[in-house]
Amino acid sequence: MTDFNASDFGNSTKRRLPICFCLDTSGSMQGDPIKQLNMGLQNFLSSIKANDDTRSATDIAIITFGSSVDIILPFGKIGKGLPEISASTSLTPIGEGVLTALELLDARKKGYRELGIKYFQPWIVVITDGAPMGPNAMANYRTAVAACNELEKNDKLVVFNIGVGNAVDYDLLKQLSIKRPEPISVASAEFSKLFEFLGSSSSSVVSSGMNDDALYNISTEPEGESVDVDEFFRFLEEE
Amino acid sequence: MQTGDFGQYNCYALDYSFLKEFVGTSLYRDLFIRVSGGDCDIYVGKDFKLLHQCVTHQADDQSDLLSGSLRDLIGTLLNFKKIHQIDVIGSKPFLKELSKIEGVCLITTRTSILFKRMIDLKIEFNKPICLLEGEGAVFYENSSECYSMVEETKISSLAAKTEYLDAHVFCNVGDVVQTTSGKSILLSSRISNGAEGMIFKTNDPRIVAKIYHRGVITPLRWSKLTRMVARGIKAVEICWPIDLLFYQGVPVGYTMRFGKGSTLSNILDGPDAVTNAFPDWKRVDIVDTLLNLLEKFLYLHMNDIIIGDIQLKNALLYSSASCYLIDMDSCQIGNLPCPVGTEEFTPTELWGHNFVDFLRTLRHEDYCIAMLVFSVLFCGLHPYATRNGKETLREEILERNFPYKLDNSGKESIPLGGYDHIWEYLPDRIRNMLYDVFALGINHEAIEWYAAVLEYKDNLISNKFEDPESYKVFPKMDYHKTPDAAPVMVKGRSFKSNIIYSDANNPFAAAARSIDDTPGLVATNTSFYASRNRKDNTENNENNGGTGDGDRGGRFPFFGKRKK
Repeated sequence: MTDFNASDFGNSTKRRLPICFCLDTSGSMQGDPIKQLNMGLQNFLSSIKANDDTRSATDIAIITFGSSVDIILPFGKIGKGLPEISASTSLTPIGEGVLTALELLDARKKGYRELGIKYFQPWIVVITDGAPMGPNAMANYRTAVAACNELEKNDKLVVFNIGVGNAVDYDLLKQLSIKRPEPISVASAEFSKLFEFLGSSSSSVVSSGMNDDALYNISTEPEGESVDVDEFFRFLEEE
Repeated sequence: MQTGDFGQYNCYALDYSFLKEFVGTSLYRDLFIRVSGGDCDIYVGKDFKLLHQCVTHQADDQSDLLSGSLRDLIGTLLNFKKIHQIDVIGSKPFLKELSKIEGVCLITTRTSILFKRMIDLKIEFNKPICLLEGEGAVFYENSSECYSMVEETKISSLAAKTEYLDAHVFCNVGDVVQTTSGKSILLSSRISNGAEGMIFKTNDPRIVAKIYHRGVITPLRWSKLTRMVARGIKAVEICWPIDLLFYQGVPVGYTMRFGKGSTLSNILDGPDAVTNAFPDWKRVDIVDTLLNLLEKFLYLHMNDIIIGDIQLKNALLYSSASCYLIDMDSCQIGNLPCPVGTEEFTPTELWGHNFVDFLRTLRHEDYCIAMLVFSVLFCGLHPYATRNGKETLREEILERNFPYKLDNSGKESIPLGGYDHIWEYLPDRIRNMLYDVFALGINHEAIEWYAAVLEYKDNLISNKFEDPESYKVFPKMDYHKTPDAAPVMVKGRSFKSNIIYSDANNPFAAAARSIDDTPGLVATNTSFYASRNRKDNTENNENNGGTGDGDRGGRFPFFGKRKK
C-alpha cells in the first residue's frame, strides 16, 4: 500500500464524486460574507449526508487561501466535522490554493484507483471575492489556470469558478474554466442558494449520471418547447 | 400462412405466454378441448414452469386463474402421458431441441419473450409456428415465412417530441386532485421531493401520488402513463401507476401503490451498509433478494414491458422477502421507449445514443440484468471496479476489464474488502455465466440467471456446501455493525431520519437535526415549480414510499428539469 490510509476511503461501493472547495478567506470576506459561507458549507454537507444518493458517494475536501493556503478538511476526514472558517488577512493567493486543490484531487484519484473504487471526474469549486494578491500571486495564478484548463479540456475536471460581490476580477476568474462561458456570480447573501445548487448538481451526477457538460449550463428552464394543455392533448391525439 | 384451429397438428410446443395471455379466452378453451382428446402431445421447456413461478409469486389478479387452469391442463395431459418437458433453459436451446421433434408446431404469442427473442435474433426455426395475437391464431410454415409477415414494432412518434406541458397549475399538500374517473384524492403529506416530482401520501394509506415538477410532463410521458394505467399491472410489489391525476383539469401526475423500505442501493453499499441494515443476513438473504427482483423483471417481460433503467436504486427493500420495484414510469412499454439510463448499467452499444431514439430489446435488458446480478451478489460492487485499472470506468467497461478469473488468479486487481472471497465461494455455474458476460461479452437470458440463482438458493438451503463460510454474506470476513460510523437503519425510516434520530455518536446527526430549524433549506419546499402556497408538511420520518428519486435534486430554486 502507498502513503494513504485506506480507512479514509470507507467501504461504500458507490461511484465517488470528489469535490474540493477552494475558498477565499482574505480580509474582505470578514463579517457577514464569511458567516454566510460557513453556514452555506454546513448546510451543503448536511444535505449531502441527508440524501440517500450522495451520502456515501460524495467525497469532500476544503482548502482556504488567505495569509496562507490551508487544508482545513482533507478528504476522508469529514466524520470529524467542519471547522469554523475565519477570514483575516490581506493576501489572496488563489493560484496556490487552486494548485493545492489539484494536488489533493489527484492524490484522491490515485487512492481510488489503488483501492478499486469507481469515481466521477472531480470537481474544483473556487470561491473568491477579489483578485490574486501576494508574492508571485499572478505567476502562480497563471500556472493554476494552465493546469485547470488542461484537465478540463480532457474531461478530467469540472470547474466551478465563483465570484462573490463587486470586487472580483471577473476577467481573471473566467480564465480558470474554458467550458464555463462566464464565472458564476453570487451575492454573499445568496450563498445558501449556491450551495443548494452545488448539492443538487452533485446529487444529479451521482444518482442519474448527469453529463458533466450539463454542469456548465445553469438554466432554470426545462429543455424543449412549452405548450399549453389544449396543444398538449392535440399531440397525444395525433399519435 | 393461414388461419386455422388446433386440429391441424398432433404435436405442439407450448410457450408459457399462451397461458399467460390467453387463459380464459376461447382460444385457450379450444386448445384444452384439443388436448382432452388424448391424442395430442404437448412439449414445454423448463422456462415454462419457471415463468409460471414468476407469475404466481407476484400474486396479481390473474395468478389464481392461471394456477387453476395450468393444474387442469397438466392434469389432463398427465392422464394421457402426453406432456413432455424439454430439459433446457432459454430460447435458443429450446428451439434447437424442438426442431428435432417430428411434426411439432410451436404455439407462441406476438409479444412473448420467446417470440421477441426469435425475431430480434432472426433465429431460424424450420417447424410450423402458430402465432397468436389479439383474437386469432395464424399458422406459418416456418420462421422465415413468419418473420417476413410479422410487422416490426416501430418506435412511437411521440418519443421524439420535445414539447412539454406548461400550464402554471401547481398543487401541494392539502390540495385535492382528481383521477380520470373524477375520484378525489387528497394530497395529505409529502414524502419526498425528487428530480422529476414529489411524492405525497393520500387519504388512502395504500396509495401514494406522484406530482411532477413543471417541464417534466412530455407527450411521451403522458401517453406512457395512460397506457400503463390501462395495462393495470396488479402485482403487489410493483409500484405501477393506478390512476392518472389532474388538477383543475390539467395533467399533474399519477397514483401508485405505496412501497416500503429503503433503496437497495443504500442497503447494498459495501460491507458496513449491508451489515448495519441487516446484521443477521446470510448469503441466502442476498440470494432471496436477487430472486425476488429477477422474478419481477421476468414478470414484466411477459407483459411486454422492458424496465430499461435497471439500477439498485430503483428498488425498495423491506426484507429479503419483500422488495418493491419503483420508478416504473420510465420503463419501456410496447413502442414507447425508456428515456433514461446510466453508463454503468446499460450495454456499451447504447452509449452515446439518445435513449428516446430507439426501442430497447430483451438482449439489452439481459446485460442490465447481469449487471444487477453481479451487484447484488457482491453487495453493491460494480463488476468493472478494478484496482489500479484505467483512468475511467468507461475504459474499464469498454475493454471488459473484469478482474475476476475462473482460476481465481489475478486477485490483486479485485477491490479490497473480501470481494475475492465472494467470487471464490460462488457456484461454478454463476461464476461461468458472470465471466461470459463481463469478460467475454457472451449474453445470458434473464431466465438463465433466474434458473442459476434458484439452484444457488437450493444448494444454500439444503446445506450442499461443505464450507460454512459459503453461507456468509461476506465469506471469510468478519464484519460487524459499526454503531458510530453509520446510523443504524430502522425499517420504515428513511436514512435521513435515521441520521436525525440516531443515538450513535454521529457528527451528522446534529447537523441533520438542525436542518429542520433552518428556513428555506432541505426540509422545506422551495421548489418554485411545484409549490403554490408552500404548505410545508413534509414528513421527514417517512421513507421514499414508491419513488426512486428519493431526496435528490429538484428542490432547489435554481433548478429546473434535469436531463438524466
